[in-house]
Amino acid sequence: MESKPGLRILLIEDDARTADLVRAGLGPEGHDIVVAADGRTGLLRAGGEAWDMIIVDRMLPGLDGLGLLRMLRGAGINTPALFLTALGGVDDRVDGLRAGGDDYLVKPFAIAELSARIAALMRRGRAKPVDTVLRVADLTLDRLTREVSRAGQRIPLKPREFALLDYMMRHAGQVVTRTMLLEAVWDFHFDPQTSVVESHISRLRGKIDRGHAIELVQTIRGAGYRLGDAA
Amino acid sequence: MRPRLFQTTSVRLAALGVGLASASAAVVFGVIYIGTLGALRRTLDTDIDNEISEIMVFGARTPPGVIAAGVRAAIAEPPTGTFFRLDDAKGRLIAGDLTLAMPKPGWHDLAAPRGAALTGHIRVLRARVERIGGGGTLLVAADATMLDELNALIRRSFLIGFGITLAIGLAAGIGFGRRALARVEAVSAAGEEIMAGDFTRRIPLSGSGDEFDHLARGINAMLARIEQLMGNIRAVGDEIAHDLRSPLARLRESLELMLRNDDPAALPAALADAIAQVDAALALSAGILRLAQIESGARRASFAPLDLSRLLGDIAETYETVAEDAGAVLTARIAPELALAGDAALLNQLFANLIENAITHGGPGTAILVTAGRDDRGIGVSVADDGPGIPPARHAEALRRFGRLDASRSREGHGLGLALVAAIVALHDGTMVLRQSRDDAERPGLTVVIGLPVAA
Repeated sequence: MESKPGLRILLIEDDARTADLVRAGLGPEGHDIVVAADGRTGLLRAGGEAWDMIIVDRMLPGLDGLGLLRMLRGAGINTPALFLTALGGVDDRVDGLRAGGDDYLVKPFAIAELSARIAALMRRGRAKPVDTVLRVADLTLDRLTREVSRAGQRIPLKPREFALLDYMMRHAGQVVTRTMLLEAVWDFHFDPQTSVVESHISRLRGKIDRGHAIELVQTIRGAGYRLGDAA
Repeated sequence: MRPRLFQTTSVRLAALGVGLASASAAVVFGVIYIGTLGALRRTLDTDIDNEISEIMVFGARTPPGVIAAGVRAAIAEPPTGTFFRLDDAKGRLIAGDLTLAMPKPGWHDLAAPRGAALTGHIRVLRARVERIGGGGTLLVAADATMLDELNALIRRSFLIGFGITLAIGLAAGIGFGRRALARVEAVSAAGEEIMAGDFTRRIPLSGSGDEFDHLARGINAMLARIEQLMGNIRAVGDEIAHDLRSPLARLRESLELMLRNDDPAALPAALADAIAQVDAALALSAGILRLAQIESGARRASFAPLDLSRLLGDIAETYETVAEDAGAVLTARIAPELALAGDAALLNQLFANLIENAITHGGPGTAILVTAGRDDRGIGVSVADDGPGIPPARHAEALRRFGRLDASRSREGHGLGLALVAAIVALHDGTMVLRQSRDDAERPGLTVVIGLPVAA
């Protein structure tokens, strides 16, 4: 995703500060962020123009985010959509996904988290055939036999490590945040007190990178991790 | 508004009772009255009829002379309480011992005239007047004083009885009403004091075990629960304020340092620290919201059948790694095919929380054992450690919101752990017991036993 052209993103958000923050944070990545300040305007623009992605706040004046997305999906508009919410409840995530949202982010969020999730969604948006064998550099993961090898050498992984690597390989080259990993690999929708992600990343790193010149598991400071051979 | 005495249910019921009692008494008196007096009157009437048929031996065709003879003969007999008078067609007395104006033919109740034949005590007469041949009239009368006296007696008795019933009934009604009103006012007064802020106030019991005591006991139990909840809320409020203070205070320090520090190179680190403090405060409020949402029970709607063995297996595997990095050892003994209906995301959090507590509070060298299996009541899951544990006296406190048993309150983490665990267990209709893992004064350990009912 490094040399990607900027995305055209519609941000439906009534809070001017959040909108400014998102614009300021994502602008440097080359994205074109258009802000609609209420649900009705948002719905009109979302339905009337072509977008790469829609970011929609759940609580909006005029028409709330859930209703808006339901109407868009009902009209056959399947632009990837990410919910923003100030609600931290456990049901809100489920409601958002059920209404047709592709991902969900609780305010306040770090721009790095939003950026990583946009990248992940764009990748998913480009519907790929389901590969049974994933490859990154000389690392391969067979999803059917559950075998992992690097440079032809088999690497035994525990189930959680396998799930972690599987997710990272499906998002190879992208930054994946700690929260994304917790949600996708562990189904943890809370912030653990212990270093669950760090411990597993360190195991994984030990198993797939040790003895190899190129480190595939990279730590991106202040953001998360990335799997890939690019520097 | 305070109810007035005559609006009370007791008084109204008493009035109704008195009314019904009076009505039934009236019916009884009526039956006796009509029955008794009727029988006596019929006896008198029969006597009179007999006298008349003795005098008018040939009925209506009896010659006046014969009748006059009969009357005289009857008067001549010893006194029987029967009196006679025979008038001719012009109303002149032919024979008899009564001086009165002759009434029309038929039955009559007459006031006794003053006359030689009548002794003083006779006041009322029962009389029959017959027309006889030749235009004259015959009157035969009997002493009906007793009938009259009985009549008066029965009426008087009835009035006295009715009056007494009414008086007792009303007095009782007012008495009960006052009593009930006093009890209700006691409840109301207690309610007002409680509203004014005295949550320790209770409704006084009379000790009689009556329905008011029963009601008062119910209300007192409710008040005790409310007092407890209010206490919790107050404590939680204090604790939230306390827990929010430390990140906010540190945030303020960071900001002030930034303001004073001229070194631009130190700014990013200070800002990152400031954000970390804000995140701590936000995590705390998110935890409180989440707890409130779980406790509301709304998530029960999203329960689905799940494989608890697999869920626990995944968590155990995850935390074997985490524990190892923390210098602890986690062992899991999980029976296969444990199924129940629940919320997978919350159960994940529940067991992750318990194991994380064991890891963080036990410190390096802690051995943690996770077991799961069927028991007679459903599924039992236990997380046992050999760490410092929690003194049994403080187990209840540990389950309370923010019950972080750390006097210094300096440790990281927002102490919602066990309270969240308790809320998730309650949502699943489960049970939770805390106990010591072993007999060891230094490190008795903590074992948390969760009982989950199996999906019906």
